[in-house]
Amino acid sequence: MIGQVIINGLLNGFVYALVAVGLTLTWGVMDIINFAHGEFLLWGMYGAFWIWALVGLDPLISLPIVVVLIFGLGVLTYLIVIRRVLNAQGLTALLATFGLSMVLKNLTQFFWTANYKNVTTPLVGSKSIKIAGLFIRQDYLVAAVGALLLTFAVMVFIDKTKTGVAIKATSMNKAAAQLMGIDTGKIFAITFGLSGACVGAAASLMASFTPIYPEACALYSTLAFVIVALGGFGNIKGALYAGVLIGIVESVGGYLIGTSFKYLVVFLIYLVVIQIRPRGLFGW
Amino acid sequence: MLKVRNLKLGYDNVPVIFDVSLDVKEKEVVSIVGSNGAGKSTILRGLSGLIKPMAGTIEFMGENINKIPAHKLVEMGIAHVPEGRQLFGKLTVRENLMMGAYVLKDEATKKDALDQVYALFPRLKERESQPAETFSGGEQQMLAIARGLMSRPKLLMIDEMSLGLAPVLVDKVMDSLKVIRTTGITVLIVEQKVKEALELADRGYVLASGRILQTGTSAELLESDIVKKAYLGM
Repeated sequence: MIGQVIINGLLNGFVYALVAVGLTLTWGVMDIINFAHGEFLLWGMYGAFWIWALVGLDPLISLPIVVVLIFGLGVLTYLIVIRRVLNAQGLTALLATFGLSMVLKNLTQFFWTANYKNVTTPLVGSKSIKIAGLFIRQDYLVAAVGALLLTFAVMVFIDKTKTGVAIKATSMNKAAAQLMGIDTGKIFAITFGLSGACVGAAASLMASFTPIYPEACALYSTLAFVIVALGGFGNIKGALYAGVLIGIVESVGGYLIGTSFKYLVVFLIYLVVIQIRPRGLFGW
Repeated sequence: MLKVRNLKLGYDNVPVIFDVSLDVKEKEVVSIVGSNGAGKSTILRGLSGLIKPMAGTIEFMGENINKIPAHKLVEMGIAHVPEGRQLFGKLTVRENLMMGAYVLKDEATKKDALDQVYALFPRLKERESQPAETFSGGEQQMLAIARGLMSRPKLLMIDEMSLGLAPVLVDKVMDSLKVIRTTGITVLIVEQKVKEALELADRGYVLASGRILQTGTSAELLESDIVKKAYLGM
């Protein structure tokens, strides 16, 4: 039974990790804490839902489209909001993203009402397959594997491509990056887009089995903040490990203490870790 | 190549450099010397576009570059090796160098540039996969200069390359500049070590409190009373 509980947590954890990877990118590279990150996820889910409802494309098939759309939302957010507050003093940037999250959430309700929307005919159903005595839901498995692959893809992009290394260089030393001929404004726009692309992908992977409504993102976005803090700001690998850790803790905690207390365990761990290691478990 | 007229620079509208004019001709090595706080680094930051002029003009290759952003100036041929190296510490030597070559489009040119700096600093090749932050001060300075050369600049500007280096390393780094100048690159250096800098350069400018005090050939400056008294302790 505990094996079953761990596998459930693990599958959730990979999806949490992908959402957190997006958040850790903007946090680590630009020092921007994007409170609207969860709303990016939300808009990704609605994007996936409406493409399914209007054109009939399953969220898993329309994933590339949603990724591009939310990448665009990220770039636009940078150009319209973030760019203006990047060098502002104190909490300006924080308040700007907080305001943006309010605007996006309320626009969601305004456009699409507060009612639940569901993708009722998903491509991959909720049937379970049995592997080594464990029951694994097919749709969860597809989402988890997809999230893991995409997290690796982001890692490879950051480590191996010219633009990826330029993102790292800019995060280490912005002025020096400019002296290399790197257009740091463009790098920031790409980083914000990439951050959006991560949640766009996560949204598509989850849209088949998650009820979609304006508050659907709240849990994921709160957990993403915890995961980023545990994993170390800007640390993609850290976000992956911490995402898996949180997924398993949530699941095992719920099993041992009771489902209503599972987040108590998650946030307790968070509080303890930041007391002992403020840079997170895997921080630089 | 570089023509600066009545340049005024500062931070947050507080000027640090007042009315500075200077010229750098092609294939020259020119040095700006002066004590700590004279404003030498600020001049280089202005020339590379990191800060924008409050007044005056900067012309590079006949074009006014006052308003051109820093990253575009690299493409035009200005490389700035900043004070304190400013390496990308977590990146490897090779990654640092490839960031230096960021503006080069074609792979063959990048490879050429890499071979060239490795020939100049063989030590870097031996340790190309090591993170830059694990290097000693002298090695870091060599890497910083090499990174600056990777963009194939027409004008290489180096800020305080002797800072924090043991005398034997200062000589070594200065020697590398002698090799660099034979490749036809124009060099502008900014230094607190007045004697060493002037011995290396063709001409020099003496800067104090944001103004140019004196200019001339290096030989003239080394013999002048101001330099002897204020900087060489003679």
